[in-house]
Amino acid sequence: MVKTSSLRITSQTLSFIVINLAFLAPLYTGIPLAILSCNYLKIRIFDCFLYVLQEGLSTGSLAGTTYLYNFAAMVVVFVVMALLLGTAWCGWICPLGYVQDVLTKGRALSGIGYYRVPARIQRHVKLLKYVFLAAIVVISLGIALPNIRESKLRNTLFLPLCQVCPAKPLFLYLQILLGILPPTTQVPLLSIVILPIFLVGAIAIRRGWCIVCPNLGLLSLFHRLNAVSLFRRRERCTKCGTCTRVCAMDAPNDGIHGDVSRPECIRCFQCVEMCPGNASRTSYFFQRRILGSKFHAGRPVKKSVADRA
Amino acid sequence: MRVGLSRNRWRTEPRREGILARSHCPHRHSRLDRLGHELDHGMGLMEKRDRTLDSKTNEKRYVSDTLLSSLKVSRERAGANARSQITLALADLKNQNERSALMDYYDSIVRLQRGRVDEVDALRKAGGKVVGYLCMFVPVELICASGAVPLRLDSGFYCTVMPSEQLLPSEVCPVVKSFLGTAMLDLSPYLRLCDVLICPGSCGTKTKLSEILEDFVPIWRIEVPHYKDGLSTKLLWQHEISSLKSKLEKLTGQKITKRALRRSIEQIEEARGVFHRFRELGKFKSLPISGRDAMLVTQTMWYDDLERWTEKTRELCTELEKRIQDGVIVSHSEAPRIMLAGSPIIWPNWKLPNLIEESGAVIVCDDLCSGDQGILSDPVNVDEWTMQDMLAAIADRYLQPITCPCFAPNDKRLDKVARMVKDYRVDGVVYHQLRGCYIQKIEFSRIRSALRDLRTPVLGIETDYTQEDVGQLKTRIDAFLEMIQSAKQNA
Repeated sequence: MVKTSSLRITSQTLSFIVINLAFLAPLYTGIPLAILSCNYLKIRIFDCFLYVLQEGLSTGSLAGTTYLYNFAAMVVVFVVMALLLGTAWCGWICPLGYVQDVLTKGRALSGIGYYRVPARIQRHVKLLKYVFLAAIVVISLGIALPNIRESKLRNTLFLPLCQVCPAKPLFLYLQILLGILPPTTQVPLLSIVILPIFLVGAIAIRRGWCIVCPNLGLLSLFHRLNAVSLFRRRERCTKCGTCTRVCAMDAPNDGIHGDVSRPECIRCFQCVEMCPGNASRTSYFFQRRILGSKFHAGRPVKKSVADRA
Repeated sequence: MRVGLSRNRWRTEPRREGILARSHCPHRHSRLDRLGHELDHGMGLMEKRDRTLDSKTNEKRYVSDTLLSSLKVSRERAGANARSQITLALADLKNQNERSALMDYYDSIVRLQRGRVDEVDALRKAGGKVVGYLCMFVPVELICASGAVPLRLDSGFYCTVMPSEQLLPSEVCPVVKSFLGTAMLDLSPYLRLCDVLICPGSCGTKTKLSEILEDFVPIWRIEVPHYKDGLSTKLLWQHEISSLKSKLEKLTGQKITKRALRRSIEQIEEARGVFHRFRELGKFKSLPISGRDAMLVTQTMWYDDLERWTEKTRELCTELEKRIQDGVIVSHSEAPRIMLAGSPIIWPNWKLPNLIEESGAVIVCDDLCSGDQGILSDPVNVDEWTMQDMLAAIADRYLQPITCPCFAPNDKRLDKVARMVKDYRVDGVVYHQLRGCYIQKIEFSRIRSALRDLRTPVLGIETDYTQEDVGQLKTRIDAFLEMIQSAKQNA
């Protein structure tokens, strides 16, 4: 039986290679994915939906009907993707999430603990992602106004997320290192400043960026309609608190049963894997059971790192 | 002149207070550590004060010297009584048909003499530490990781109830009375060997017991929160666990490293695997081992070396699984399947299990903190092998899944009982209530109504640490089993 976490890390690694390292460069599709894969990469297969959204909102009405139809088609593609996998995009495919998971793994292996954001702070901080999302939409629409679109302000505020998104310097520098992009590539200063904050944040807090990520905010708007669901059965649950503790997104799990998927749940299914109750936590894809927790005792543990040393 | 002097003093005096001092503090890594450090500091002051109090006023103690010396006379007789209680309980067990030869090992451990006692004594003489504990809120993983020997010391002796009644009111539960009597009469060989005894304040009587026991052995108290969903519950409990860790480190003089803690968690997880393999045997239609023997196997873990217990129980499992294939069984497949619930049943108080199984029923599982719901019932579920996460996992394990009636709300217990009734195909539940264990009695009505929904009959038995009610209990149990039998035949 393959562990869910190994499946997930495999899926993340594969998507990272496919999306960011451009081995399949000639296959450029132009399909926007619901993840933060950078649009500024020289060779890429997919687009970043938030880039498409920002560009569409700013220039859509000016660029003619063909562009508008194209934009509408992109939005439809995104909605279908969001309904099919929802926030599972973040947990299983997003390269920025992958980088954070790798950093978390490295931190855990070196034996350093993480900072758990207290629930009362977390409750407010996680609303920031919606604030950011709203800001992106408002700014992108605002710079399309007649007075502003001619001024210098338009160039300053065009594509606001791309000016701060840590994915841009991270993946651009990666391609520069690999020799895919020329070393003279321009990267916005603000995002270069944010990159170290992102990296330190990812080490200190599990999935630190995702707490405020506007892409997760956009996807979580669909969370009630999401086809991938997460359930907890009260009568099988021992209330051991494991699910709350292992949740990288600190999604509140206490005292609820039935559909326990929260808006911020990225469907990493770590809670399902760790849950000691037999079929206490289950996940469904369109009413079809895809995962269930299993009772485990005396689980053959991998030989301790300690023993090898 | 004076001003100058004081100024000089101010200059030469090392600055101990303020921010600088804090930055030199070895425990400045996290808020939690700092708090633990402050706690330790406070604890040191408390200890100092207690000691002065001790030397000054002897009458502030619970157990006076006169009382102890008056008990010396009855000590011999009580010792003989305790030994005969163990011998009788063992004789009852040995009378069973088809008892596995491997049970001899468990018998030798619960005899509470020689063997294991000498082993612990030798360990202690070689510089090892022995940490006793009561209840199941004490993280054994930490004790093992610190290199000390953990021993659970609850008592089931009948003869030690009487002497402690000179101190305790008669309404107090016999588990506490018996344990205190054991300490007063100096009967428990393990208590004598303990460097420290950890007393969690699970119920009111256990809390007071920790105070009285201070006259005999150094005590560490653990504050058990009673509302699991309280605002500061998690924080309080995590502080309790981490302060226990630092106390253990101070006792043994060696740091609990990540490596040691991980190894002990894995070791207990291995034991848990074997334990669950053993408990699975209770789900078969005809059992290869009787319920009271199974309870004995579970309880042996309290005293024995964990690695050896795991090995021996693995062997036992292999033999019993072979027995099932060969058709060697100890119980009739038509025998009523009974589940025990309620107050703990502690060796050698084997009265109730003996009565039930001698009347032709078989105990398939239990909901006792002394049995299936003990340390091996739930896992310490570690996600990241860092010290922080291991401690958090330990803290979660020793609070959240525990369904001791000292918690409110305790709905999980009903779910757990219902689940066990289904999994083990239980025909009837015997709810054991010790006189004075009022929280178990309060929960009885709720469990009874939950079981009524499942159409499972319940027999509530109120008893005490005494042999006097055996005849009466036997009549009631026989009637209960007869009712189950006839219901089974009609179905």
